[in-house]
Amino acid sequence: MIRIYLRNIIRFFILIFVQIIIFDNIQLGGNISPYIYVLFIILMPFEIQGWGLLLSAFFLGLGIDILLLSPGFHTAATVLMAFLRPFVLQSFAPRDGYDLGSFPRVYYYGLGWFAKYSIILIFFHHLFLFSLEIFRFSDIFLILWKTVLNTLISGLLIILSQYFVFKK
Amino acid sequence: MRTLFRLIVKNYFVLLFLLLEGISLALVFQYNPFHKSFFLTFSRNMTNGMNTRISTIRDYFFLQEENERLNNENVYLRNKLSDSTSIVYLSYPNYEDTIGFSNNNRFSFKPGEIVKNSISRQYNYITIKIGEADSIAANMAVISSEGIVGMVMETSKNFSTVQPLINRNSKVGAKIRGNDYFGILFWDGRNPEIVQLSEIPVHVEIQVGDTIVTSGYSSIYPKDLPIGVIKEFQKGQGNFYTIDVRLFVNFRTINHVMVINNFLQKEQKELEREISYD
Repeated sequence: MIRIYLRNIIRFFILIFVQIIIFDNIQLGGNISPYIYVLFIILMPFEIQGWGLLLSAFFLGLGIDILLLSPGFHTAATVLMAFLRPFVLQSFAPRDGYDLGSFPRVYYYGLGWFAKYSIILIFFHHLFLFSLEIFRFSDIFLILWKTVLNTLISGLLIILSQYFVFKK
Repeated sequence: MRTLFRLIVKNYFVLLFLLLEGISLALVFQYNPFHKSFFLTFSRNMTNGMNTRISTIRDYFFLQEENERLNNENVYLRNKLSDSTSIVYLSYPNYEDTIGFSNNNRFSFKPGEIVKNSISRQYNYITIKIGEADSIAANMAVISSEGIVGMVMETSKNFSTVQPLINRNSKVGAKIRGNDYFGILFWDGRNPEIVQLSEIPVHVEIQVGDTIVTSGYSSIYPKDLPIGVIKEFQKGQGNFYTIDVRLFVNFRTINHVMVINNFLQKEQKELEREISYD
């Protein structure tokens, strides 16, 4: 149990670090910049309590916000994503629930399940993030375009991470 | 009372969500200069050492372009040298004249290197590796060899944070070269190559391709620094045009900048403040 906590805490800092140092330098065409730090929320154990999920999401977003000089956009989006996670998990649950000792990963539940689950969460995170950041109704198409584009890129990177980093 | 308590425990997930979401949204909408400078200082302390190392790697990818740009600038400056009759509207002295500064000599230029840059957000910031140790302070103008980049927001010993033109908070006084009508340059957040110029009245004759330069009325930017050319324009609300300006500076590939120190900025600001108090 302690190992799982420890692993998640280390993952928390590594993902923030990787986001700021590597993925924040990928900015293509003025519209694409992948936000892969949300992988932390996606990979949390099934058994996590609601308060743990929300609070860690809050501090994850706050950390990213502080380092990217943005006032609260990422915090708000990540908290929303954490809030939606239990409902998404519930609606995609296998017939007899999630197995004890398993984690939400491709290794346990297959590519199809993981892709659906992660892309939906990333989509809502990005939609809320870009809506808050742009915050103009006249730019609704810009918001949608950035959301779709970045969801695909972030989703692809996060799914690939299942094959190269989180193999098991 | 017990029912209420049970209700709270039962729905704590939703309530905690609303609380945390409320805090973050308060952060977004209460974003004031104090928080900004707190964020800026904290963030800079955390990441700058690392960013410097990354930017040395990043520099290699743009070496070719950077060389071309420097070469062009060399040619431009050499032409200025031989042509003694031309009016030098922008001078690049590499020394600081601390005694008698005439009007032509009230600015000094210091080179800086960009260590972190962003273009895909609405509130973009640039971090440059030059700071208080080189007497850089807030509100100094930052330019590149092609045109203006933005202004210094915050400084630490060796680094400064710059608010570029492509930040939704940016406002710059600009005018059309030739007829000297001036307006305000801002960014609508859509395209990092295009900014918008407002408050040019419709009776002014403008054309696609007209050059936009700084107006020089603020104490930050010197006069006549190039910004961009008019890409397209149309009649907007009221009797003003909405003008799209294509920037000279390419924020995707920009690497080296110069910070302009205006020796008379303090004096001008003090005078302007006195007037506004009257």
